[in-house]
Amino acid sequence: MDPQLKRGFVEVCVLSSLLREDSYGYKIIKDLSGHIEISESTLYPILRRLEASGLLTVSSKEHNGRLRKYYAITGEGRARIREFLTEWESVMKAYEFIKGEAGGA
Amino acid sequence: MNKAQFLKRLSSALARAPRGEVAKSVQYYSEILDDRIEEGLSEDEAVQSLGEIGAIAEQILSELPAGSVRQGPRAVTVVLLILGFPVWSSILAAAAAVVLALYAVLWAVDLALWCVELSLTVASGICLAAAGRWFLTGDAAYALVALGAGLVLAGASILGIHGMVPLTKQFGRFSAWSFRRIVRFFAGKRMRMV
Repeated sequence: MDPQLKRGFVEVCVLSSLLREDSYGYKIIKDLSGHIEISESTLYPILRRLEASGLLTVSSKEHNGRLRKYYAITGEGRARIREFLTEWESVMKAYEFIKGEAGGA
Repeated sequence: MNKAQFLKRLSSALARAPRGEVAKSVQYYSEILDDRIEEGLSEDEAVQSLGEIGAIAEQILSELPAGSVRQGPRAVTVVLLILGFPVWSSILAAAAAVVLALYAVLWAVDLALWCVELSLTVASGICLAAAGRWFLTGDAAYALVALGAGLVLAGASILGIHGMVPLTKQFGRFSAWSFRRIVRFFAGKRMRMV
């Protein structure tokens, strides 16, 4: 997949994994592993970027006697997911057209 | 490799990044490792599951704003510098020779002008001495010609001195200034490389 495109996908996937509840690095990876290819080293910069652009917030909570960082989605993050879904409606229309034409040929 | 070793190596691999970024990255990976160990992996297994430290560090560095990462000499640059030694050393030597030749030309002009000056002075001295001798022997006409020539030459020599002294000072100043510029140019290059 085009790296630029994949980056966009992974960002929205990470945001979506926070919709149900706040999450932490390792859990995000586990939750996403069945759906998109992601590793710790790719997740880290994405979390930094999403935090920097205000799509998620970070807080440290104690867990088993150590601090763990929890990530929470913001209103802007939710808006980003909605935006992604509407964008992809038009992408899917184009996809159906391409598929139809390619199938007919 | 255990967790502490991994984190230590990671932070030294990130040495070029700002200190705050290094601490944040180390904390992130420390947390991930703790979580994996909690899941039942051993420290070694948890570290192994993260992959190459070099690749992890590269990824982190590539995502940082370009200005915040210090650029060290890349391994490729160092290898090229060493392998290219026969080429760049001869180019450098040629450039140094050209600069040296320019200085030589400059100072040769100065030296030549001083020779003219010296010859004017010596010639005027000889003329005046000859004039004195001819006066003593009674050759008044010869003496007069020699005296005239000697005075003209002495005048030219005095004028010349007034021109030559500031000219030589100027050459000296120019040489020192341009030499400093060249040294600073190379020093700057070296600073940027290290």
